[in-house]
Amino acid sequence: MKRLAKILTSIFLLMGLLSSFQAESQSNYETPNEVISSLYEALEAEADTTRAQLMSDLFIDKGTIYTILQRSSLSSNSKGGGFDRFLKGSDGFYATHTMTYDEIERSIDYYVDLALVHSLVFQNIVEKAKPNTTYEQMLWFSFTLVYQKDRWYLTNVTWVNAFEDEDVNNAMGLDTLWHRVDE
Amino acid sequence: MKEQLRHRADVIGLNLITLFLGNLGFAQLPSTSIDFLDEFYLNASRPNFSTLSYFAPSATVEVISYDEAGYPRVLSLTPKEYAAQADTLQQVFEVDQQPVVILSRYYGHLATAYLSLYTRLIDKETQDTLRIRSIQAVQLIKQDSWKIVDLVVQNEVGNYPFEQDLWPKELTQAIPLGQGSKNKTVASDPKSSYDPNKIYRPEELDIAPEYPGNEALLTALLVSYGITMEPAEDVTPFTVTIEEDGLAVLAYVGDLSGSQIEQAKSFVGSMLIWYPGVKDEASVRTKLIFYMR
Repeated sequence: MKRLAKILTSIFLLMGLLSSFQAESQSNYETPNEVISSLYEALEAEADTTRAQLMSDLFIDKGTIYTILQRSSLSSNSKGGGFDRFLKGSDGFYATHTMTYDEIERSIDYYVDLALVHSLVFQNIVEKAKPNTTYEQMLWFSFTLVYQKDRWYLTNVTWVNAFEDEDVNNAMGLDTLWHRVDE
Repeated sequence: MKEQLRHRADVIGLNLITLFLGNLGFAQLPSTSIDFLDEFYLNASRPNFSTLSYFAPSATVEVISYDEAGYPRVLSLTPKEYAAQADTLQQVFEVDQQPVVILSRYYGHLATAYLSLYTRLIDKETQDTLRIRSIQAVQLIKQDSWKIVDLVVQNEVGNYPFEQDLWPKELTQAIPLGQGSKNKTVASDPKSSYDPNKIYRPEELDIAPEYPGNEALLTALLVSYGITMEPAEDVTPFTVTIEEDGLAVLAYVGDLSGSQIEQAKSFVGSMLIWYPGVKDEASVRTKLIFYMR
């Protein structure tokens, strides 16, 4: 119960949480929030070994990452699989770019040892060779977590970039379907 | 015909009751990912259901179970393994699965869902029925069509009631829970003396856990793994907990070697969902002792 009490049903964060991500790097991952913050820290890590170490600590063995490049409401390209596949596939990009993430909003649904987390985040990308060349975009992240061995683990992380046709803030809105069920 | 209502959160100021009274205006709001998921759950128990067609090939399914001490353990399955488990279940049971509340978010070609699910398992031979409920989290990606990339199953845990928004009284009052006959459920008595945290021995129970189907099914499983339930000189004991929801969880393995532990894991992973033990008219956790040669 103590563990559950630490989880807030819905947490809204303002800009500028980067410093708190770094402060939690030695976390025991007792709450989903600590895991999410550490995941952003891992995504910012420039060294391949650091990134790999952080991610293997955050995911269950068969954890997965999927990324969606959304061009328009009709067109997208998605990639994904084991988080190790993401690490191998992104080495080249990390060699030439640095990334930072500023989280804007987060919401959590949870029941006992399962949590589903959504997060809106601002991503800033800088070309190492041309530090004045930066790219900025909003991303919507979705995380699934499970609790075992006295801590939370990620089973899946998936994100999609904001695109022009639709306001990314809509992603945090809820669509509900109810069924009246009978025997 | 099941009644279905839907609502996008930007239509604010309407509560569930209001929607019940005047839901027609919301019936056609589009959300193809939620429709896809709804279809997946409603059709999953139908004959010739193609489970794999709903999953991306690299998808994963995680089932949260509990060991003897009550600690969670996560079992990861591929879609193929999940489909095989579902097929096995349907050989023994009529499976009726109904989503109750699906909370979905989506943007572009990513969608997620957090939902409550009611499952009724009716033994084809005896007509005994087990009614359980779970919370599930799903991640979906749209490629040519929507596909599930991650599904996590958390069955109900006795001391943690579902929140009203995921199990509204207005929708679920007709549903009994627990174990009983096809049309009658043995309800738990809140004043009963059973301890929900205790793991019972079979001899302490009113009804010991039962493996579904006929006795030969369990015997065949035991034989195929070289495992027995009778102590002898050349065997090593280990224990399996049958949870309140009938899931079997490998518990004490302290006397087994590494390879034997792997074999025991496989043995337990091959089990169907048991009829859980019953004490004071409530499903309880039970410890079973097995022996490996």
